[in-house]
Amino acid sequence: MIASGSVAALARAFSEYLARVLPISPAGQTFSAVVMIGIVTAVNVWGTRKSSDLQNWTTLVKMGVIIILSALLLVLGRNYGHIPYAVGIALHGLGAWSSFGLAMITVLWAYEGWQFGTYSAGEVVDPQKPFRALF
Amino acid sequence: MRTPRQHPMPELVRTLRLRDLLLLFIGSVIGSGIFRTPGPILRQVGGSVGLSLLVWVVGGVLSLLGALTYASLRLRIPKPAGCIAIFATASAISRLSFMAGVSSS
Repeated sequence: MIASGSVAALARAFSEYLARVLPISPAGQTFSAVVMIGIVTAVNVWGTRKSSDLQNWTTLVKMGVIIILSALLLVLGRNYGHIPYAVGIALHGLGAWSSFGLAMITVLWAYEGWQFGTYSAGEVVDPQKPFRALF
Repeated sequence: MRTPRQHPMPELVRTLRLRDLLLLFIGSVIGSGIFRTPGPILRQVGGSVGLSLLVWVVGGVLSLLGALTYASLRLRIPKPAGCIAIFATASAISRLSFMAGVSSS
């Protein structure tokens, strides 16, 4: 399955994060995004086992970073009360529900991907068992 | 008269196991968006940490319901297929399943 829009957005996010660490120009960011898409595509074409190993390791690293970041922010985070509100939000009455709904759109984008795992059923050994165990 | 030789449908090599599937799900659901969205969500709920966490929990429950629905449909056709085939299995209306598949891709 090729979700080209998501691939482009995430590659762009990768290059933006990279620019925070390395001093690269906007053109360099675009180039790094294209290179990253090429690398991941090449690993996917190389084989399911290889791409699954890459996915496993990057997921473990990502989980570790999220746990460390969450712990640090919960312990050391202080200035969240001073962040600017989004434009046009309401904090009371019916408008508060509207703000909640807008926030739901953002969070559902963050959670997007729950449907992708099921597409791999054709490459799973005896898929009935692991799917049942997983859910 | 010779009958044409029947070729079996080619299948993908089955190499993924429970651990791979688990990490594939986690890696797909917890994408890079989680690093980008907490700030905007906090701004949209007026800086309320409790409300912001509630948004994450409600979104998580909705996503889980979607994932369970897909998995339930998927178990009926454990062969390579995208969402159009999955919806087509669940629905007799092929045009509707095509539209649902395209819109969710």
